[in-house]
Amino acid sequence: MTVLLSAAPPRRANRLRRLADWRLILPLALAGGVLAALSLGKFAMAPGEVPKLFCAMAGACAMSPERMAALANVVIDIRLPRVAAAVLVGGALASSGAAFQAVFRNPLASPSLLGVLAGASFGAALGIVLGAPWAGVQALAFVMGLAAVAFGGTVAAAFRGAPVVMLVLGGMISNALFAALLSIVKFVADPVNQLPNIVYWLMGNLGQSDLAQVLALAPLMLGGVVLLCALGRGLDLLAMGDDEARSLGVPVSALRFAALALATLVSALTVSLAGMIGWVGLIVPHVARLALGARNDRLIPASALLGAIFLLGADALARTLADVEIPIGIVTELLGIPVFMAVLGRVRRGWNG
Amino acid sequence: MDEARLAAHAVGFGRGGRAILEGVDFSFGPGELVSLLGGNGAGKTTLLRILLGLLAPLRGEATLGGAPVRRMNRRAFAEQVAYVPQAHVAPFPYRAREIVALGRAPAVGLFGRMGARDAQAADEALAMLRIGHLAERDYTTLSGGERQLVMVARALAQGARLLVMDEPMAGLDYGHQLRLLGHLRRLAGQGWGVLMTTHHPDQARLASTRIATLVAGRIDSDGAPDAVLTPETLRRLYGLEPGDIPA
Repeated sequence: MTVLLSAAPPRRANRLRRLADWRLILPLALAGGVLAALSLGKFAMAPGEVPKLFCAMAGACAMSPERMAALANVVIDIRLPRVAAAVLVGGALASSGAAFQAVFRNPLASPSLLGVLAGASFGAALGIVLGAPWAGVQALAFVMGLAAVAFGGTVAAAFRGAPVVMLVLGGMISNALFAALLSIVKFVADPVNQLPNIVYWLMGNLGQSDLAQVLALAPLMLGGVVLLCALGRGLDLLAMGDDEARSLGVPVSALRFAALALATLVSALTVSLAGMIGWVGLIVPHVARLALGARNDRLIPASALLGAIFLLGADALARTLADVEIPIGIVTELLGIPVFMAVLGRVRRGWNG
Repeated sequence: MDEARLAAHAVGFGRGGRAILEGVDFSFGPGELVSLLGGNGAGKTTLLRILLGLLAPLRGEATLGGAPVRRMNRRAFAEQVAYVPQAHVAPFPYRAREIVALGRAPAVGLFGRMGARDAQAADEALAMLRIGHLAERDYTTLSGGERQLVMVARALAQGARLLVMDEPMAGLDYGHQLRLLGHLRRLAGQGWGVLMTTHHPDQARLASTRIATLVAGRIDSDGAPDAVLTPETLRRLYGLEPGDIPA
């Protein structure tokens, strides 16, 4: 009897904690966020009409054909591509940011560290100046993003030294080079037609892709994020330092290369899908780490979900704050600053060790 | 049993034309607590890294139970030999138990599932060093002495019987140094083998079963603590003259 009495309270606490588990809360919040984002916009609809539309499309609910056609046009053709883009881009940027922070053992690392964003910006600007079609601009952005990281990595490999430090320096050089190349392209761009397009692209825009494009990139991005999630324990070991990781049986160079390649690939895809969106890869992992601790097998999937939710929220603000849509990159930066300041006081504890 | 000894055979190493180690023969095994003494730049850390297979020697080789370390599977090696780094600052707020549990990585692999037995191994390792109360603490908020014990606990959770420690007492106060030595001595008594580098001859004499000295890249002496730690050895080790030592 005494055993039963003493065992009961912790068991209930356990069940409560299990209910409050992030693996339940974050997916639910994301699903709610997606439904809300699909309902939000100028076209008026009653709350609950989006689930009803899905129900009607599945043939399980009754809805007048005209209403259904109108709703399907707005929700599926117009809103779904950008909502899906927000989820993919937010999740990819945040999870690759968490991976970068582990590989570089530095909470200030973000996907831009090795030059992927600088390279992609140059690629997109080049595509705009060359008059390439939109898909060409996206492809150039993707290719140049990868090229910038490859360049930074080659520079790092050319010098002897601690690999992580050399990669940071290689990334600095690559960032500087591609920033200069971008300036050249801006300088020669036609200031009436092309320059405003470049500037606009650099601010990020989730609405520039149609459903087919988003769906084409989705498997690659989701696959990359899932693989990053699987590297969690390896990244924990890598974060301890090269010698320690190696003495714990980790193939350090191969793991580091795999993590950086995956993170670079998905970040480059985000840029080709939505342009430059800053801050997500830096701050979302911090917030997730505050809530869940440092373990990467939890941190990376949680960052992916939280990043998707964050970007959905930022996009909702971008669409509703003003009469015209505000570029999403501006919103994430403005939102990111107060969030980062709010977590700074708490994360600093961990930094002065 | 000579089976599980970690050994360096005629190891030589150099960098940029400067010799760091020359003809080093050295080994240690289960049941021993060996202190490796040497002045700054004598090559202690280089020797440790070669023994651990982290660095390829230019001449000679390191072996574990007779097998060349550099050709061993890293995970198999990790199940026998653990590297205990200096208590460092982790950049992220891991809990002490999470750090110790990483010691199970060689056994379960990068993608394997950590089960109840692995969690139990981590808890047992914490308990052995009497730091079970630190399990849920944030590693970054622990003191240097506590962090060093967490590092030792990770090595124990790893299941390795040989521990290689790089200056485990650096930065610890006198109390923590003695407490750590007490733990290491107890481990050696229970069959673990411990090799540590240190700058403290007095503490080395207190706890070690054996002391080796490294002077200018060569093993200068190697034997029982009292036999090794003579004024003559201290002179060669640290350039101390009889007049330098307070009488």
